[in-house]
Amino acid sequence: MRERGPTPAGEPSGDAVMIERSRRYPEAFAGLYDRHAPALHRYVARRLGDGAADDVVADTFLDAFRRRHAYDLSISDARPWLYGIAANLIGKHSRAEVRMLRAYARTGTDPVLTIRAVNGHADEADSRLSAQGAQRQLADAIAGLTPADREVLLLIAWADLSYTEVAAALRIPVGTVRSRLHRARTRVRQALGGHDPSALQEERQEPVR
Amino acid sequence: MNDPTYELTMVSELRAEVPEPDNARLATSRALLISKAAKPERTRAIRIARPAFLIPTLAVTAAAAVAFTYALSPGDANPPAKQIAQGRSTTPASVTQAQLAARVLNTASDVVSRAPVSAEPAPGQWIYTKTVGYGYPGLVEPSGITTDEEWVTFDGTKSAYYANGNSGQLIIHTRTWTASTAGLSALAAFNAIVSPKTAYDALASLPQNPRALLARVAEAAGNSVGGSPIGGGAPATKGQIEFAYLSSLLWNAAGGVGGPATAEAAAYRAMATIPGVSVQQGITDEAGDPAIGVSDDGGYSQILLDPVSYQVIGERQLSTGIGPIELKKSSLSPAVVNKIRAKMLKLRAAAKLQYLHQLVAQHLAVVEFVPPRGTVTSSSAYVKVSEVSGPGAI
Repeated sequence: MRERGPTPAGEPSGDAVMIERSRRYPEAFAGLYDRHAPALHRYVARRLGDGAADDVVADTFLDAFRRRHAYDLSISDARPWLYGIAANLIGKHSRAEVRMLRAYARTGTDPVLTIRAVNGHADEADSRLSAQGAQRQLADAIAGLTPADREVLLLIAWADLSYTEVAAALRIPVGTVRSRLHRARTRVRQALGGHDPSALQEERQEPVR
Repeated sequence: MNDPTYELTMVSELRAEVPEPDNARLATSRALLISKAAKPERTRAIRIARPAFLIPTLAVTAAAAVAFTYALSPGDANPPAKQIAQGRSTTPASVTQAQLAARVLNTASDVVSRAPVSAEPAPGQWIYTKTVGYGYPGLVEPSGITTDEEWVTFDGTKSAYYANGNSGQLIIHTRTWTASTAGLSALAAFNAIVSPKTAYDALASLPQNPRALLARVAEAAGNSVGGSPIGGGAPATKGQIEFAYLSSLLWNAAGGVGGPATAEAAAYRAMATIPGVSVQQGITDEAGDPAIGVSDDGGYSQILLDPVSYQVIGERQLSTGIGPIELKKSSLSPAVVNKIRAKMLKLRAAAKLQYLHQLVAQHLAVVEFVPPRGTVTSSSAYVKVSEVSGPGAI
C-alpha cells in the first residue's frame, strides 16, 4: 500500500514545498540547505577539494536563494537545479580541477586528498598515497575530457543524477546527455586500455579447464 | 566477471573516500545563508514585512534551528499588550479586545475610504523612502537604530542607495533575475515578486466582501500550516495566516503610494473580522510618531497604523520570551514535527509551556538567550515615502 499517492497537478511537493515556503518565510530555505548541502559538498570536494567546496556550496545556496522565485514548483526534487547552479561555479575552477587530476596521474598523489591531509587528517591520507596505476590513468582520462563531457560524466557517476536530471541541471536535451556520456565513457575506456582491469585479474585466477 | 559498465564503476570509485563534511564545516555557509535570508533582499529598497510570528533569533543561529510557532492566543494571561499598556486604562472594562480591535479597524476602513484617490504610478516611477529600523542587539541584524534612504521604481526592477550615507556614491541596481508574472493573477504575481506595484495590484484585485476577500487571501497565502517548522516559524492558525498575508500586502503597498483607497478600506474591514485580532493603542513607532499596533497573535507581531490617517506606518516584533530551540539531532522526521505541531495547537498556554519543556528534555535544547516577553526585538517605520523624478533626488 502506498502511503503517498502521486501529487495532484499544481501542488508542490518535496523540495518545492520548502522553496515555495521560503518565498514568504525566507528562513525556510535553510531546510533545503540541511537536506542537500552535505551531499553537494562531498560532490564538489571530490572534484575540487575541501576548501573550494566550502566556497562553491556557500555560493550555490546563496545563488539558489536569490533565484528561488524563479524555481519551477512543479519539480519536487531540487537536486538538478542545485547541481546545475553548482556546475556553473565548478566550471570557474575548471583549470584547477584539471591541474589536480593531472598531478594525481603524474605523481600518484591526489591533491584533493592530500589537501585534507594538511588539514589534520594526515594518517588517513598517507595510506591512500600510493594509487594504483589504473586510478592514475583514470584521473588522466577525466582530465582530458572537455569540461562539458566531464560535467555529464561526474554528475552521473558522482552525484547520482539520472540522464533526465542531468539534462535539467545543465539545460541540455537528454540526447545530448547521452552522447556526451557515451563520448566520455569511450575516452575513459580507451585510457584504461579497453578492458576491465579488475576483470582481468579475476580471469587470471580462474583455473584452466 | 566482466562488468559492461566497468569504466563507470571505476569512475564512481575514484575519490570515493572523500567524506561528507561534518556539521561544523557546513555551519559557516549555513549561517551566511540564514543571515542573507533574514534580510530583505531582491532589490535593496523593498522591505518585506518580516514574516509574522517568526522567532527572530533564527537570524543568528548557526546550527540547525527549529522555531516552533508559539503564538499565544489573546486569551492567554498577560499578553504583552496588557503588560506594556499598564497604567493607561483608557479602555472601558466592558469592551473586549475583539470589540475594540473591530472598532479601530472599522474606523480605519471608513477613514481610508475617504482618502484622496491617487492614480497608480507608472511602473518606472521612482519612489523615495526613508525608513528607520531597530534590531535588538545580538538578536536581529542590523542591531541598534538604523536609518535607510532608498529609491526604488514602482515595479521594483531598479533600486538605488548611497554607498556611504549621503556623501558616498549613488549605487543603482537593476534586477538581473526575472520571474515571469505573465498570466499570473495579481496575488500570484505578488507571491512571485514583491514590489509596491505587485502589492498595489494585489490589493486592487481583492473583492470588497470581507468573507470573499479572506477566502482569496487564504488561497494566495497557501497551506503554510502543514510545512515543516525547520528553519522558520509559520503562522499557526488560519486567521493568523490571513492576517500576516494582508499585513504584508498593506506594508509593501505603503512602500509605494499605498493601495487603492477602496481596496485598503476593504482590507481593514476584512481584518476586523479575523478571529483573534487585537490592537494596542498609545504606542510610538520607531520614528517617534504615535501609532496603533494591530496583531493577530496576542501582540507579538504588529503592523502599525497612524492613529489619524490609519495608513500603515510601521511594523514591529515583540519577544515571546521563548525559543529558538536547537535540535540535538540534525533533523526530525516530518511525521514527528507534524505530531508535535498538532499537539502544540491543541494545548492551552500553560500546558503548552509544560509540553515545550518536555520536548526540550527529549529532543531539543534551548540555546539562545531570549529577551523577556514583550521586549521589542525589531521594528521599522516609514519616515518618508514620496514619488520623485529619479534616484538621488528628494
